[in-house]
Amino acid sequence: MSDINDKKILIKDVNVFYGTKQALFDIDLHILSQQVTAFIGPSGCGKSTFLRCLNKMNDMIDNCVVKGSIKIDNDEINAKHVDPVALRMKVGMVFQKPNPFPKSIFENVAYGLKIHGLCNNKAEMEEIVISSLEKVGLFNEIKDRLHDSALGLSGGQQQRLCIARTIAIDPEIILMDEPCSALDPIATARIESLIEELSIKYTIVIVTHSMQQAARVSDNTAFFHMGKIVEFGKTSSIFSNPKDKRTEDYITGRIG
Amino acid sequence: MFLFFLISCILIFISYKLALRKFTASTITRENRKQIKYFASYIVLWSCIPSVIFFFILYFSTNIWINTVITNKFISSEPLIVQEIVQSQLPALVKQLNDTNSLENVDFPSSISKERILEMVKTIVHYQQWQQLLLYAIFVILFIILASFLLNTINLKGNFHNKVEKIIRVVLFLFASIAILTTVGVICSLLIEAIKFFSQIPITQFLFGSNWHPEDYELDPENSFGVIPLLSGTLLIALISVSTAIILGLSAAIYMSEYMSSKKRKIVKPILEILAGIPSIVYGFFAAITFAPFLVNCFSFFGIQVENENALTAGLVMGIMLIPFISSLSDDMLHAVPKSLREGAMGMGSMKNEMIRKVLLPSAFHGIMAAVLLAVSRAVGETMIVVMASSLAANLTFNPLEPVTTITTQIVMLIQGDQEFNSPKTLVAFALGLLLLCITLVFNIIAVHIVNKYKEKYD
Repeated sequence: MSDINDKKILIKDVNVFYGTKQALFDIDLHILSQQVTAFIGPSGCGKSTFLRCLNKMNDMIDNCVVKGSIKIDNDEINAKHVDPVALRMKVGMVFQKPNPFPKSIFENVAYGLKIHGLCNNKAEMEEIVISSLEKVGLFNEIKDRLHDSALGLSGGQQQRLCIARTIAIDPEIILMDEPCSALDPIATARIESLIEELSIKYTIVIVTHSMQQAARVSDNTAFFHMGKIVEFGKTSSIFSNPKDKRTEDYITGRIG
Repeated sequence: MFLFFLISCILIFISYKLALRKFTASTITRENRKQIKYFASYIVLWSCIPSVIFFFILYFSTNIWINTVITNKFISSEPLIVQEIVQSQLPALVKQLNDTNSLENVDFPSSISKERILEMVKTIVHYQQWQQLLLYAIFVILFIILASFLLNTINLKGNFHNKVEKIIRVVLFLFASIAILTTVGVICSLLIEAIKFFSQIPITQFLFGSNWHPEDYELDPENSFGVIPLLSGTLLIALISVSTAIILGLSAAIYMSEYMSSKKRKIVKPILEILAGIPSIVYGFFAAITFAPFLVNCFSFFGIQVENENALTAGLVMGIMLIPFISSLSDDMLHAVPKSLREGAMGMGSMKNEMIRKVLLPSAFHGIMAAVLLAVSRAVGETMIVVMASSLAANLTFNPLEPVTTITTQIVMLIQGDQEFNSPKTLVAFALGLLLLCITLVFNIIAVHIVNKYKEKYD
């Protein structure tokens, strides 16, 4: 395990273009290992776009170009030769809307294990699936219907299943794109406490619309505005003592 | 007919205009402005619909009356041959009389007096003219009475928009029920004729017999109408064609929806859909003239002798015809799979093909299955390709290189030319039609069932 203040991801001069339109301008940032980093900012400020750069999901969009340097554990991921499949094993992602596959709960968690061929036998797979479900606190709720369709679960359960699916392949970094925006407050609270537990082992980057959520779960916060990072630092200092006027306006609710 | 249409239009127009004039400047307010045209429509609808219905009731009842009068009063006293001529050729005779004012050009057997026939036809025409005049008069009078009654008695403060809405609903219901009633009618007529057939040939002989020789049924009526060879041929060709269509069509759908840019997809998809617009007879030509010799050459290269007519040719070409059914619907279904599922799968580190096989296809499964079953129904009912590319020989075989025949092809052959409508050789066509209907019905029911079952699960 790396040191607690290790810079897990180092981002330098990242510019992102959709066709001719520039979405992100000269992003410089570092993500600390085994901490929770939150991206906040008004809609359309580029925080989700930036999050998607970290596991090369922007490759799926036809006219999207990412320039600059993103290093994870000192390996440049923005180079041509980097295989997104290997990268995404290391950098998992949880999406805004719970998106379980149309399969059984078990098959959902086993999906990553199967496509990457991570298990030698059935027993091993079962063990990993169950431990992943236990980690997200879902196993006791659904242990009788492991082989029922995942689409029968509630929204909060589905989102926790998606997290279980992600951690089953044992990534080092988990990206979360507004993971609670489709959930009710109780389900949100469960996910938030889960994020805290997971941050002991994983490096977590979370995009959120809710300032309170950022304040509750994150160690560091980056405030995005109009495709630029306005302010980045310890969450406690950003929320109690913002240096930039725009940050202050946003977190006090005057803009955004 | 044209006159009736014209009269109704004029009456509707006049009554509509009159109804509009019921509202004068003093009675129009901001609140009832919307009511004006609904009031007028209401008047027109309530005058028009009962009059039209009454017109047709009267038309059919007087028709029956005229027919019975003619048969009772005039024709029954005539010799049999005259009765037959008048009854069977009446419309033609009436037309002749109206056009030329005589029956000079019509050929009758010389034994019949022309004058007598002329007199009878004239009487009939006379009745028909009176009937026409009377009906039109009643229609117009009824329309006017209804319209003026309504115009003078209805309170202008009513809720006419709601009332018109209700009438529109009823009219739509009636038109919708015509579609359903027609279906019921078709099934009934099939059933009646099929029952006639089964009263002559036992149903077990028909369903389980393995000899199909309708041409020499007189020698051995019990064993000439076994449907098994036709059934096996139909299913063999359907199997070949649907398999072809699934392989080619689904591949095309996956490529279009997942690998092609949306710009190219917009060009390619309509081109593929054009395949569905080609008449099946053209495919038949293609199968018989181009594809069959090609296939024969191919097989002879491997030392296999194949006849020009075989099940494989018909099946493969029909498969090509079915491609758009499967590709177009499947492409729509794949496109409808939410983006979040694709991103989820890609975010786990799937390759594109893994994403398609393990996430996309299961999500779109119900739609793809429905498309396949639609194609099966189409394949079972297809006629022309088989007529041209396969044969008429009813072989009981599952070897795709041998000629086979299908249910539809045999129906075409049985109904062709002059037929006695009571011989089992013709009636068997209706039994075959009924069987075909049942087969497609079963596939449709399975399709609906599958769609519902998997929709519940995946949506």
